[in-house]
Amino acid sequence: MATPPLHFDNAPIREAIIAIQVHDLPQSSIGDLRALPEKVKTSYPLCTELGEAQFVGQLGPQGTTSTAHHRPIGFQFQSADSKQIFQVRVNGFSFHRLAPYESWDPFKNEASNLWRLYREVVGPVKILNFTVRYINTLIVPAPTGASLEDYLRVYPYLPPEFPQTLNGYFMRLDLPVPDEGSGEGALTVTQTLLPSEPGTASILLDNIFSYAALGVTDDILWKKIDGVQAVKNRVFLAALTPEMQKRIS
Amino acid sequence: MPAIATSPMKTKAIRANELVEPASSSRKIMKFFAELIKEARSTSRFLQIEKQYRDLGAALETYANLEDNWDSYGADKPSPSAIKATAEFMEKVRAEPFVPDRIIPSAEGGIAIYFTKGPKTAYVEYRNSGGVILAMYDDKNDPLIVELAKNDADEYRALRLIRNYVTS
Repeated sequence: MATPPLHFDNAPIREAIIAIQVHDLPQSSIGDLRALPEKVKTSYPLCTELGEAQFVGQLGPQGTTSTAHHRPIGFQFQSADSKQIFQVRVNGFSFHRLAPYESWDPFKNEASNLWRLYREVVGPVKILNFTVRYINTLIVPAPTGASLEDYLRVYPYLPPEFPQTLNGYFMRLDLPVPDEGSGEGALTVTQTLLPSEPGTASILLDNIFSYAALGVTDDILWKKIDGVQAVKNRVFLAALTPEMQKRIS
Repeated sequence: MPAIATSPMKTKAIRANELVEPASSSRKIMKFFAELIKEARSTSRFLQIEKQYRDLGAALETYANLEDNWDSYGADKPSPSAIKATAEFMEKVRAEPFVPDRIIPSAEGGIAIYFTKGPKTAYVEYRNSGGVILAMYDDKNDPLIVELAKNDADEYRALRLIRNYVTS
């Protein structure tokens, strides 16, 4: 059954990411990836090479030695407005949509189309895992006496004996996600305060849904990714109070 | 009260004060997810931009506290109006989203915001005098200098010119 779309007029999504990790491809795949800029240049005209640097220093009785190695690992492509980005690497693929985010279907379909192009140029890959990630910033008024629980249903609890004013916080929760069509997975929720305008608080809510997908085919992979939509919607809604939901509607 | 699970992959939960040595397979799974999370975190463009703007904001705060003759060649310190204009322009750049590479105080008195890509450099300079300059140059062509006014229309025009120049 199709998941009903979740839409807020003032959606707080700052970035949505679908990332797929694959078993390391041979270094010669970089040559294959060089075919991509031509294929995507209309929608993604900006291309940057991604590299990995390694520095090794050794201390020994004969003195010191140091070596540096650099190897290309892939490419990053950006749309002209910088709001859509994708990376193709020898160890995987990721698609990023920055604000404004429209909805799941166009987001997932674009990721799927780009993945297909990646697969066309690199050939067979061994898929290891995937993540679906939503980074939100909730901007709320922060007058004296306002509290996180007015807006969030997941927040750090402070006993009354503690000072009740938070200057800042960083909270991370790692939770199991039962199988709802995507396999068993893990949810990492990160909350923290970002710099904000006076009189307001900007709360980062970063939900990462991670799933193993060892050796699955492309068809199964995208069915599993599609299965995350319902889970991520439910988790997001459950994290907000009705007041917060009203604020972003 | 939330319970703590032994492994991110298993739904069986234990109480918080029970310490259980994870089985070897659980350790592998936890390591697997730790690596995965690290990988995912490093790939957020939004968080990279946030970090860059935090660093740029800190640099601007530092420049606001410079004294006259900060460069030992007699440069005036950036004026509060140049600092404010820079901060306002940065908000416009941020909304694009676009990220300057650095901001630096100007020897002419003011603040310059730099954008670079390969051999191409563009900067917008807010001078203490109230003047606003856009300059674009590379290693092949003569510099292009555009005088701007401090208003939304000119600043968005500057952004378009910079984006076209450094990304073409």
